[in-house]
Amino acid sequence: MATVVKKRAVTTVKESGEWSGLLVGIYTLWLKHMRKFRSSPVEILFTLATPVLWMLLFGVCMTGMVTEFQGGLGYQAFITPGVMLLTGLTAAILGGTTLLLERVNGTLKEYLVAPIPRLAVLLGSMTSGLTKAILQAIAVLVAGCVLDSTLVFRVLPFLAAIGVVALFCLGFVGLASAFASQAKSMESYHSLIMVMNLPVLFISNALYPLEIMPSTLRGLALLNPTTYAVDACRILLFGTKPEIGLLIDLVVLVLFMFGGLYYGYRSFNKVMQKIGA
Amino acid sequence: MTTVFNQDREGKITQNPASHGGYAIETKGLSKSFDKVKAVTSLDLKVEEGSLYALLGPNGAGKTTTINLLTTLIAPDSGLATVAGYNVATQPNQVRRNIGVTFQEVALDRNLTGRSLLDIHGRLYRLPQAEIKKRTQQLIKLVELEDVLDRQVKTFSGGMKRRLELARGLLTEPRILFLDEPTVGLDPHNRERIWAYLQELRSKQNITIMLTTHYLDEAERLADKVGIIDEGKLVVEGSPGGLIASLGTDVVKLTGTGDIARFKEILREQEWIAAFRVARAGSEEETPAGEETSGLFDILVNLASEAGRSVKPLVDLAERSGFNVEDVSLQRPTLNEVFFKYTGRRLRD
Repeated sequence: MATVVKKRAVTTVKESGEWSGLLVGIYTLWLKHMRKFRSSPVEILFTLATPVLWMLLFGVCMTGMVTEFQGGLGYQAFITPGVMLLTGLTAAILGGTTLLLERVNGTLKEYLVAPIPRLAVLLGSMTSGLTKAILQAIAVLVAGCVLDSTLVFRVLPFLAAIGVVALFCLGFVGLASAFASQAKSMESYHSLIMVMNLPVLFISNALYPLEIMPSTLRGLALLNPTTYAVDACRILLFGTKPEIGLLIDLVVLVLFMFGGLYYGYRSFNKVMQKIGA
Repeated sequence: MTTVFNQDREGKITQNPASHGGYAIETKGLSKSFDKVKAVTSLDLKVEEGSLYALLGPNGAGKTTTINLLTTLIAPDSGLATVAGYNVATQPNQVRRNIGVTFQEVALDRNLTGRSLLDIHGRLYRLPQAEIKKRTQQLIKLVELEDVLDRQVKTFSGGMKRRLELARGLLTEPRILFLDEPTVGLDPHNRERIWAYLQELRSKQNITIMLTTHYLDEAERLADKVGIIDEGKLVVEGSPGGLIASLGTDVVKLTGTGDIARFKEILREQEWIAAFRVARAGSEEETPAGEETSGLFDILVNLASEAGRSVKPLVDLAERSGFNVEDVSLQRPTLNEVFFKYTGRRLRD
C-alpha cells in the first residue's frame, strides 16, 4: 500500500495519452498568456520602451564618441545584439513573473486539477515567455536596421540570430522559472532579478569589445552566457571577426539552455509537492 | 448491477469502474500531515453517487486538505482514496477528467474576460469549440452572468466571481463537483443564489457534489449527508435530519427561580422526559449539582415525545414543585447542537 501511495504522478509522463495531454496543456496555457499579452498594450509598450531607449539614447550618444568599429560597423549596429538579448532577458523575467503571480494568487490550482501533466504548466509559461522574447527581439532588430545603415536586413542571418536569442532566452526562462517557483513574494523575486539584470548586460561584450576590457572583467565576462550570445549574433549578422568563435558560442549556449531549463524544472517540481499545504 | 459505459474525452469507450462500487467518493484511512501537523487523520468517507455531501467543521478542521487530497492537488501520506472509481494517488488523470473544482479562494485570472476564461478551461479538458460555446451559453444562463460575460474578470463583484467559478467547475460536465466553501464571504442574497443554482442543477442531472462549509444553515439546507470533521477526524456523519433527531426531540427551556433540587428530583421520575440540564440563565453552561442556589436559571428539558402536548404539563409540574416559571421557550435542535454534542465546542456562524 505504502509504495503505491508514494508513487507520484507529478513528474512522470508515462500514462497513455499523456504526451498529447502535455501538448494540449502547453498550447492552452500559451494561448492564455498570449491573449493576456495582446489585451494589455501597456505590457507591450513597457517591454519595448527599455530597448528602444537604449538604442536611441545610449546608442546615439555613444555613436558620437566611437567613430570607427571593425570593418565600418556603426555603434548602434554594434550594440544591437546586446540590446536584443537584454530585451529577451526582460521578457524571460516577465514570463517568470506570470508563473509567480499565478502561483501566489492561486490560479495555478485550476491547471493542477485539470487532466494535463504538471510539466505542461511550466512549459506553457516558458513557451509564452519565449514567444514574447522573440517578438521583442525582432522589434529591436528592425529598430537597429532603421537607426543604423550598417545593419542590413538579410533573411538567413536574421533567422540564425533569432535562433541564438531563443537559446539564450530559454536558459534565462529556466532560471526565472526557478526563482519564480521558489520566491516567497513578488518583491523578493524582483529584487533578485534587479541584481541579476545589470551585470548580465555590463559584464559582457554587449556594449564594448572584449579586447578593451581589463583582464579580470574579461574573465568574468567569459562566465556570462551573454558574451557568447553576443559574439554569435555579431558573427551571424555582420560576419565580423569572432571574439570567441561560433562553435564554442553555440556549445556554451546549448549547455546554458539545458542547465537553465533543468534547474527551472527541478525547482518547479519541488514547489509543486508543497502546493496546497 | 448493469455495466455503465462512459465515453471519455478521446472518444474511446471505457468501462466506468465507479458503477460497480456505488460510491462516487470513498476513502479508507486517508491521512496527510504538513511538517508534523496532522491535517487529516485516518479519514473514512463514503459518498454515494448523485448525493450532496457536506463536510462541516470549523476553520482549520482539515476540510480543505481533504478536498485537496480528493482533487489530486496533493498526494496522501497514507491511506486510500478513490474518486469516480479511480485512485487519486495512482490514477490522477482519470480522476481529473471526472471532477470539477472550485477552490476556497477565488482563483480566476483577473485580466481575462469571463468568456475567454471559460474557453481556456474547456480547452484544457479538450472540449471541442462548438461544445464549449454551447455549454457556456447554458451555464451562463444558470448563474445569471449573461450581461457581463465579455467583461474582464477584474470588474466582477465577489458574488459574480463565485458564480463564474461555479460555471467553470461545471463546464466539463463533471460527474463529481467539489466546492470548497462555495459561499464564504458572500452576502445573503448571493448565498441564496448559489444554493438555488445547486438545487436546480441537482434536479436536472445526476451529479455528485461534495462541499465544505462552516455554515450550518448551508449544510442543513443543501446536504443529503453531513460529515462533521474536527481536528482532521470525522466525528460523526449522517443526514442533517437524522443527526438532529439523534439529539431527541425538541427542547423546552423553562426560565425561572425556585427550588431547583426538588424540581430536578421530580423531573427524574417522569417517563416522558428524556433528559434535562440546568444552566444559569443565558449561559448554556451546565451548572453542577449543589451550586443551584439563588438566581435565575434555565432548565432545558429534552422531551421523549413531540413538544406540542407536553409544554403545559411541564409548566404545571414546575409550579407544583416550587419552581416559579417566568418564561417558556421552545428550541428546535440544530446542527449546532449536534456539533456541540460531538466535539464539545460551539461552531459559530
